[in-house]
Amino acid sequence: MDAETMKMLAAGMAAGLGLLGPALGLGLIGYATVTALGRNPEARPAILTNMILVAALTEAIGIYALIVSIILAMVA
Amino acid sequence: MSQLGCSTRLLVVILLAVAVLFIVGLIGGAIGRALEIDSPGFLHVPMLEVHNFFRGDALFGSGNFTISNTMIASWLTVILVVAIAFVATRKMKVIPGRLQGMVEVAAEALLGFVESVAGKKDGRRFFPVVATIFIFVIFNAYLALMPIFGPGIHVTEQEAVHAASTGTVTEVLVTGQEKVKKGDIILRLDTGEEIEAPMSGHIHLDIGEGDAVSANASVASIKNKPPLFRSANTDINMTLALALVAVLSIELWGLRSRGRRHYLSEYLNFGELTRGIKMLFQGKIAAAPMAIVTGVINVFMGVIEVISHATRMISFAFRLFGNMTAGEILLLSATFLIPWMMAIPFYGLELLIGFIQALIFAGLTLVWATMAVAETSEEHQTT
Repeated sequence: MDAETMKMLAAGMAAGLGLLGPALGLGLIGYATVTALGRNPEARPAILTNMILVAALTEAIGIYALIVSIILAMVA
Repeated sequence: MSQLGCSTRLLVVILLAVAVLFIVGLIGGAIGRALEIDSPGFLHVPMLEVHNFFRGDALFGSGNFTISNTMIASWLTVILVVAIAFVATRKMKVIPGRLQGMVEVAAEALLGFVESVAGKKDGRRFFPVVATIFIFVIFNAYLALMPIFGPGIHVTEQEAVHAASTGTVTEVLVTGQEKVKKGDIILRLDTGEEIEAPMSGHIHLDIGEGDAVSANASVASIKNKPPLFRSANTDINMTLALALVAVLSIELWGLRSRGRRHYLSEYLNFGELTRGIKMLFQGKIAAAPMAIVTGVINVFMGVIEVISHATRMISFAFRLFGNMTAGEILLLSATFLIPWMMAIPFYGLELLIGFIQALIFAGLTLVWATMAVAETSEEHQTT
C-alpha cells in the first residue's frame, strides 16, 4: 500500500469514525430536550437556550474530526 | 391559486427559468463533463480550488508582512459596521427614523441576551466585548455569501520559469497535471540541472521533451488566481486572535471581580494541603491524612483548571474556523457539481450556521465570564 492510498484511507476513516461520537451526543441532547419540554412546557426559553449551547459544544468536537480529515486530504 | 402570492403566469415563468438553469448547470458542470455531453466552451465551470487552507492567500507585500485576502475582507466588514453605526447615530431623534430604529432593535436584542445570562450589573460590563464579537463574526459570515467574495474577482499572479544554463530537456515531469506546488521539479535537463517551480499554480509549458534551451530563456509560466476577498472567518489567524481576546477578557474580568488572592487560589489551590500538613504537626494525627488527601486532589484540580482554561482558546478558534471553512468548501463543491441550482439550499444552511456560530462564540464567552465573576459558593472549612 503506497502513501497516497494510506492518506485517502486515513482521511475517510478520520471523518467517519470521528463523527460517530458527536452524532450520538447530539441525539442524546435532542432526547433530553424533548423529554424536558414534554414535562415542563412553560420553561421553553430556558430549555431551548441551554440546548443550543450544549449542542454547539458537542458539534465542535465533530468539527475537529472534520479538520483532521481535511488536513489529511488536502494539505498533507 | 391565491395562496401563492403571485399569479399563475409568474409561477410558470419562474419554474421555467429554474428548469432551464438546472439543465444548463447539469450540462456545463461536472456531471455533464463526466457523462461527456458535448457543450460549448463558455458553459464549462472551472475546477474547484481551495487555495491556502489555514491562512488566506497572501496578495500584497512580501516577506513576513503580507496582506492576505482574508485581511482585506475583515477590513471591509469593519468599514461596513462603522459606516452603519455612524450613519445611524448621526442625528439621533427621540422617535427614531428607520435606520436608527433598526440599529436600536439590534442593540436592544443583544443587551437583552447579555443581561438575561449575566444579570443587570455584570451584563453592562460584559456587553461591549460580547456584542462586538457577535457583530464581527456574523457580519464576516454573511458578507462571505456576497457575490464579490470568491473566485469572481481575483488577483492574477504570473511568473515565468527560467533555465539557468544551456542544455536539452531530457524529462518533463508535469505532463498530465496542471497544478504544481512551489518547489516541485518541472523539467530535467541533460546537464543534470533540475528546474523547480518558483510558486504554486497552474503551469503552462512553452517547450517539450527534446527541445534545446539557452541560458535564462523562459521555459514555462505559472499562473495563480487567488480571489481578492475571502471570508475572514476562514482564516485561523483571525479566529485565534478573537479567541485570545475572549479568553483574556474572561480572565481579566475574573481577576477584577474576585481580587488577586481568590482568583489565584482557583489555580494554585494549596490551602487544604498546607492545612493538612499543619495538622500533622499540631498533633491531630487522626484527621490529618484525610485533609492531606483532599489537599493533593485540590492541587490536581487547580492544574486541570489551568489546562481547561487554556484549551478554551483552542476550542473557540477551531470551532469557528472549522464551521466556516467546511461551509466554504461545501458551497464550492455544490457550485462545482451543478453550477446554478445546487448551491441554493446550502446558502440557506450557511445563513443558519453563520448566525449560530456567532451566537455560540459570544454566548460561550458570556457564560464563562459569568462563571468567572460569580462569588465562590464554597467557603473554606473551619474546624
